[in-house]
Amino acid sequence: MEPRLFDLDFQLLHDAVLMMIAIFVLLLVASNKLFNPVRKMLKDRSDRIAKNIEDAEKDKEDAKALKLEYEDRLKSIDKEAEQILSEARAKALKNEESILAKAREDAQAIIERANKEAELEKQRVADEVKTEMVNLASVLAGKVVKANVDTSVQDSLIDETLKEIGESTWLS
Amino acid sequence: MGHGILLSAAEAEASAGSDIDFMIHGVFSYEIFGQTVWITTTHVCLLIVMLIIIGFCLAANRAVKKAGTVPTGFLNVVELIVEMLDGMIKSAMGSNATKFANYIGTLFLFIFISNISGLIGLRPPTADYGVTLALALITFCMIHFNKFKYQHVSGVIKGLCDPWVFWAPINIIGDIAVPVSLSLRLFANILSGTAIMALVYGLLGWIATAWPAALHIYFDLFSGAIQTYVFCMLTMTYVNDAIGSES
Repeated sequence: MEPRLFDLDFQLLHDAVLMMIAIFVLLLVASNKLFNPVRKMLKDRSDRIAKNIEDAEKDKEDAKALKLEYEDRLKSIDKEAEQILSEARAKALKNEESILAKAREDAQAIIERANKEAELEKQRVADEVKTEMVNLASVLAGKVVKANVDTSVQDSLIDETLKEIGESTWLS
Repeated sequence: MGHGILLSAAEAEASAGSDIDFMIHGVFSYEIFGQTVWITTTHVCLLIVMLIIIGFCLAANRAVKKAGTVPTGFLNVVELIVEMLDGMIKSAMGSNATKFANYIGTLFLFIFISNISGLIGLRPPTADYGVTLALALITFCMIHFNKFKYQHVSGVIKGLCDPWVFWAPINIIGDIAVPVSLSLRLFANILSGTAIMALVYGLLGWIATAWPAALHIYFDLFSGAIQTYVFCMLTMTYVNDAIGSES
């Protein structure tokens, strides 16, 4: 064949027909192997991403609802705790008062008893002094009878006796 | 074979000056309908381009099948290409995009890989009128199939006689001009780039070292991408017009 560049002849027709077949083959291959699968993959991917986003939104909503619920519950728990505490405080106050009252009563009783004992002791001591004085009086009477006459002696005796009583009895 | 499928610098250098070659050569011939036709270097390059695209498609398919939840590496490239093509088709065709997306995408890949195949030393298949004519004829058929499908015969006739019945011949010429201009535009643009590169390598010999890379960037990458985009855009616009003018 002569080298050709551009001729309007049967060869051109032949070339054109071959080219049409070639582009048809290419169309089939490219459609089935390239365009359609890639488009399908891209569509699947965008669908999947849309679904993921939707799911995430839904999860977020759920989480928000849960959070609200828990916050409510926490708030009520606070209230409950407050109530329990205040009850405990009231109870403790009551206990304290009753304990104090009891303690005061006890103290009162102890004081009263002590007073009574002191009184009894005083009584006892007074009785003892009385007995002592009687004894002394009888001793003195004896001594007066013995000495008998002189008033001065009597006076001195009384003085002496009183001194004895004063020193020994009243001081004890 | 003697004739270069390749336009590589090495081969051009080996025969510097003596062989400025950007023609299409026959590889072998056979008879069909009583005519002798040739399988040419274009067909060889076409086959290579097809294999590249099919290989890419198979690799992409493998990557898609093995894809995990998170896309990585090669799959990202595949997604980028498919999304870019779909976005372009969607912006040009709107609601009609889904029906034509696969064909336009295939067309885009084929023309683009063909146009830049000069970079790997092939003679671009799109620098053969037999290739671009076929693509333009497909576009032509798509236009008129959809015109008859969506506007019916009455709509088509009304369109032809717009604005007045005597304009019909001019409208018919206008319709026929569409595939001619489409195919010639793509063919001539890529052929000119191929011819210029062949001249540079053929005439300049060893001087043509390294710096023709800039020319490759312009003629193969830039011009190739632009012409791909133009061809696909025009196809989409014409088809969309054919569908949309009624609805």
